[in-house]
Amino acid sequence: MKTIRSFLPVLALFALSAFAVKVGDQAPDFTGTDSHGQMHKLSDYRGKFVVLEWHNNGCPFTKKHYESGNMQKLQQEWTGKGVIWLTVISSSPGSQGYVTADQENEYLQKMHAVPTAALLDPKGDIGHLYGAKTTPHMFVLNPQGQIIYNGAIDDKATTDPSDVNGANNYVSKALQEAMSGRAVAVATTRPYGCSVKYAD
Amino acid sequence: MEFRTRSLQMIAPMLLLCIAPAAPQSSKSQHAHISLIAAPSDHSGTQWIGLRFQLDPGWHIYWTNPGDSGEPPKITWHLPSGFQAGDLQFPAPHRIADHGLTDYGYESEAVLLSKLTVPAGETSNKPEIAADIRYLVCREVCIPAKDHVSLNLREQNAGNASQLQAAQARLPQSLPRGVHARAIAGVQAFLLSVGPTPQLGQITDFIPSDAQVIDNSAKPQITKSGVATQVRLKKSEQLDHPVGELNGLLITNGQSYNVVVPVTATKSSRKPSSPKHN
Repeated sequence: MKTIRSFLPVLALFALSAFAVKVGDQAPDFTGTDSHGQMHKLSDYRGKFVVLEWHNNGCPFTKKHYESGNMQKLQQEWTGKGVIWLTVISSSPGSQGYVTADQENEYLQKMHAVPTAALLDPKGDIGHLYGAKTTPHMFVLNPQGQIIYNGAIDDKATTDPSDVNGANNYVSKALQEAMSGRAVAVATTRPYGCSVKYAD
Repeated sequence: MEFRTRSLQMIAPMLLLCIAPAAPQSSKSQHAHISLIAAPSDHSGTQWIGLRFQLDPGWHIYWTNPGDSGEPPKITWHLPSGFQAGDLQFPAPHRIADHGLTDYGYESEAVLLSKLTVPAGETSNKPEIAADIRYLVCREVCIPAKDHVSLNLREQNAGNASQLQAAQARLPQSLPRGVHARAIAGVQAFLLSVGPTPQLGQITDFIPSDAQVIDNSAKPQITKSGVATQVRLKKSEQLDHPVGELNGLLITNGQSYNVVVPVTATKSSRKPSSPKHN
């Protein structure tokens, strides 16, 4: 019992800091199951740009980008240019944002969301692997599998949908710059949103 | 089991709400009761007004730097012609743990202050001030909320004066004359030195005003050396540029101080800018 008690805080520490990935790092590989039951292995997408989007459908910061249509627009635009867009849901069962596969498919349809896939990560494995802190929290990977952007979706850290217009979208900027062979000017920012509702 | 306990705790305040009569001049919206308070003017042309948040148990709102998640309240004033409201002033916040993240905000109650400028010769019988407030209130989950509050400056409650005074006393102050703060930047952390500290009392915390500079979840390491106190602040993982000054609140047992601390870089901290990738 004593061992377990002293071990738990150590695990929590690892979850938040040691595994957090940095821009320039090789993105850690994972295999995730999407809402249609299909498996996705990140390294299979080598050769393509990949966006990882942490998601919680009840979080007001996430809702800002879905109810305004902003996230769907980004998904449409970038998957149209060959980018793999993986929405990741790391809410634990019983917490806000947790969805079953059916619920997620219903949500995707209702919201006209078009990610390449929505990965269900109820144990938080992928979330902890990347040190995902908030919903949304965005990562952009280049075709070599390196992280080229880690942080907020844009520079307006609010829940107000009217702030989407005129915001500087860091994900689009990173993709535009990297695709035209330039360095990503703003590669790391503070992600804003709700805390990811990991299992305690 | 834990989940059930939480649900019960959330239901209890709702039941209370059903039987409590609505208070005049203020409104109750999702987990926070907001009211405007003012004290009789001293005819100097300015007076303090307070925006008082009374929060349901476990719920919190945010400081200007919300920390790892959240959003500070925003206010839009509606004032009679000639009146002016100064910037909202926030008392020192508390650290709030949130699923492994650390936020800065207020639980149970907070009074935000603004200095109201009243035009000379103001004679209206009903000078009504009003405000629209947008805020995020969180517990396990976050709820964006809006509220409209108003107050007739002629109808003041004498009890407000003491509440406003208490709120002013909780605002961060300037460091006393003769007390200085400076910092050096290492590779992993900033080392903040404050001294002499005997007249400040025990330093217990440093809360950054800027996001993305300090790691919010790493509690400052505080050590005394002689009459000075050193505070080690772990850098944020997102900090990717040199910092010229540290802005924030130095918290002591009983007071808080606004500080702008010049930062000197040590040689080892001046590493070349991070490599670019495409």
